[in-house]
Amino acid sequence: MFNKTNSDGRSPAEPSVENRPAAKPTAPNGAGAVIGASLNIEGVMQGAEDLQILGAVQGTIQLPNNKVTIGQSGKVSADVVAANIVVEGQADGNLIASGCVTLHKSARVTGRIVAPRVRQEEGGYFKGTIDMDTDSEALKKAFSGSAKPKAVSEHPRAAQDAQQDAALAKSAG
Amino acid sequence: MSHAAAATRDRRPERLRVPLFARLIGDVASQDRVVVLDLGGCSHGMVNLLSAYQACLHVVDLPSSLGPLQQIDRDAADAERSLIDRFDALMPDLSSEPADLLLCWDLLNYFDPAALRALATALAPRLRQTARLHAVMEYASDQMPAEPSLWMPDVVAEPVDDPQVDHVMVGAAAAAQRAAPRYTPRQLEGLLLGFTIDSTMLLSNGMQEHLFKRSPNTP
Repeated sequence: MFNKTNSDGRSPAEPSVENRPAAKPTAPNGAGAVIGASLNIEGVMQGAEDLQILGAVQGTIQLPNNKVTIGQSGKVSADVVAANIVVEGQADGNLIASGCVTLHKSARVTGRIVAPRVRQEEGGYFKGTIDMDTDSEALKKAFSGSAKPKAVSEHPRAAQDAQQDAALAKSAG
Repeated sequence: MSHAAAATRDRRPERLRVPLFARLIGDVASQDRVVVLDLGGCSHGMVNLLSAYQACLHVVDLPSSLGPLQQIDRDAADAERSLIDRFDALMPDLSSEPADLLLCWDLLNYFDPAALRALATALAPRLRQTARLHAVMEYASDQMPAEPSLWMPDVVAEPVDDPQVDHVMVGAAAAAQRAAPRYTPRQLEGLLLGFTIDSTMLLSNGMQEHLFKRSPNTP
């Protein structure tokens, strides 16, 4: 059906958003990694921690199990793949999230948004395409390379621990 | 609404009942997926409304491009081609997945006949044969705001599972006024080649709400 509601009254997107424990940031201040306002970065960023962008970024950001926040001073011209994306600043490119993309009132976004849920505050500007289909091909493609695109309720560290456990078991055997 | 009263119609933000838009949203709710081509600006109301569905929303924001469109010399030999090319450049390529629903809001009031003909030509390959076009036209008033207003479905901020939308919020209009073309449905049919009128309703503010469907056998 066109409507996203499940028989239990929940959106199919909700389990991956609402029931997912927040990704544990690795930065000492508890805010994840921060790209400061004076920084200008070009290239590919990959990892497993939340990211806040206050500076300028061009390229690709791949954090499929984490949250990316583009702060008010942030200027992103990039393809961003993340669990959740929050925009308070400027973004131009593809924003692809397995959970939710939130555009705050200060957001200025052009390009393509692909996410099961998109929220926009009054005053936020957007021009382009918003695909909110949970079965979207772009969504599947973006998260096909991640360990568990739909099971993002697990912290990525759990997968690392499992690999280490398996390696230990093998060496012990 | 009398003509005299309409000419000085208050254009402060208003909440307006739009039965045909409500019907449109109700109809598409039974589809597996809906593709919406919105020629207006992006509104949080539309995003939040469609967020409840398996939807793809293309926001063209034509109001921001009206100036360049109006600068094209209508007397030039290639004026029609220039207008079509300009519309083509402004709109997304939907050849892989044409739109089911085209939202024009009050924008058609701001296009002269040549621009309307070019718009219809540019839209044709971007719409499904079953697509419908929604527009709101000046009817009672011979004046209208100098610029299009922002129209958005009046829904709660949070996405809801089964949104009932029968009202829109119409943003504050510019104080400056200009003459309204007051296209009739028949005139629009003649200009928007490939579309035929499906339904028309007179709204409480004196404007007319139109639903067009594509003419049979339109390429």
